[in-house]
Amino acid sequence: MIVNNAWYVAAWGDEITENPIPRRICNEPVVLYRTLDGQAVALQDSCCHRGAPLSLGTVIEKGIRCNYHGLIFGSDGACVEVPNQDMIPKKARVRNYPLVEKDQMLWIWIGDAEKADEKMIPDYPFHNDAVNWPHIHDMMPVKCHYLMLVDNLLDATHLAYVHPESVGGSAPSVHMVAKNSLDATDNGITLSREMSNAPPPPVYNNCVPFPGMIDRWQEFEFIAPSFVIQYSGGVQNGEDRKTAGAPRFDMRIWHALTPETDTSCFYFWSTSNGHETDNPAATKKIDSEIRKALAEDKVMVEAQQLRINEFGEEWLVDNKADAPRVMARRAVSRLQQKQNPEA
Amino acid sequence: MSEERSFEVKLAKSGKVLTIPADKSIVEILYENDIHHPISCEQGICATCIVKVLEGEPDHRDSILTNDERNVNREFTPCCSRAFSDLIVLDI
Repeated sequence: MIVNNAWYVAAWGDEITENPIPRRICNEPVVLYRTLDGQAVALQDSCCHRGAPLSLGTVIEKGIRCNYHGLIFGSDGACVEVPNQDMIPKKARVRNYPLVEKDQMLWIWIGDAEKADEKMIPDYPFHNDAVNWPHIHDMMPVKCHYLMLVDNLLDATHLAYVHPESVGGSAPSVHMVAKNSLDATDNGITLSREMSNAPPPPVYNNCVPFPGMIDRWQEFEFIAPSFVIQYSGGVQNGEDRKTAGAPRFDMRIWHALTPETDTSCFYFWSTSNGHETDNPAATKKIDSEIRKALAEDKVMVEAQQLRINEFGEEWLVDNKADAPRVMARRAVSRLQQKQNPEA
Repeated sequence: MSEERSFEVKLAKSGKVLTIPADKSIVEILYENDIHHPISCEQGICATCIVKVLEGEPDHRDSILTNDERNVNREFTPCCSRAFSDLIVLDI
């Protein structure tokens, strides 16, 4: 299910320049670019003259010029110039999508523009806090339905199997016996897990060597339809998580899954370093470690999507650990009903 | 878990009343009576079996319904949930 009347991350702010790029979002081809004065714009990626992609065009002072026959479109999508012709038909326009730049991301609204309320965009102020939470961000295309990655993020029982060499790294039993708390919110769920006296997973140890066992925490907030805000870390076993100094591991991860098609998505993520904030190498290290884990997930979910394409999902049987993802999907269904009551 | 109790389920669509013994679930008794209500996980996770409670006081045992879904929409998972009242009426 793709909720059209919702904000999605279309791009990182620094991905988009005066060189237009194509990106399919919620099954619609979109061209993203910045005007010469720096304003980010999202238009339908197809010229209203002969249908050519505007992403093959050029940004000039008057707007974006289609590089098939030279029509020029302003930021609102209206055609402003047809070469060798004085009259510009009123119908000569392409769709403009609401686009908001916030917390270093470009947020797009694909559905009914009149429903696009900027207040619905989740807050992630850590992206703007380079002093306390220096971060690195990136995007990875993944060939799976975007909610399969939400499922994956809210399911801890795969850590020991998919990520033994990265973020898992403990015996399956450590993840199975973790103390979990799961709650519904107005627009999603919160999930927290505490694992005491657990061996530090390889990622933690690679970043911050721990002499022995640690107490780990993982806190997730899912905001429908597709955002997971994660805070994870660990301190030496028995230390107070609030006050313990080094060795400690503190990491925030932003996960935003943007539907491309029904079976593919864009995974926008950032990793923020909270334990060695003045050391860019430590920020880089977290990023490179988490990248490994995401690549491990990508292999599994893409293979899973191929099987789901073949056999469907109706016959699948949930187990105990699926409660968070089922609650999350039900929150997405509620959002869909709220945003599309007539559907 | 405390000791289970027996209670009765009335199926609103047929008017049938079934007794659920302490050691069986509602859906087990439905199946014994050839009523093939959709189920999957059998432990209140997957939401496949959800039905509406029309009367009675449900004893929710699922892991996924929100308070609103339970109290406002009166949603209920007969695969694992039971009743505090002696009779519960389900929209089946």
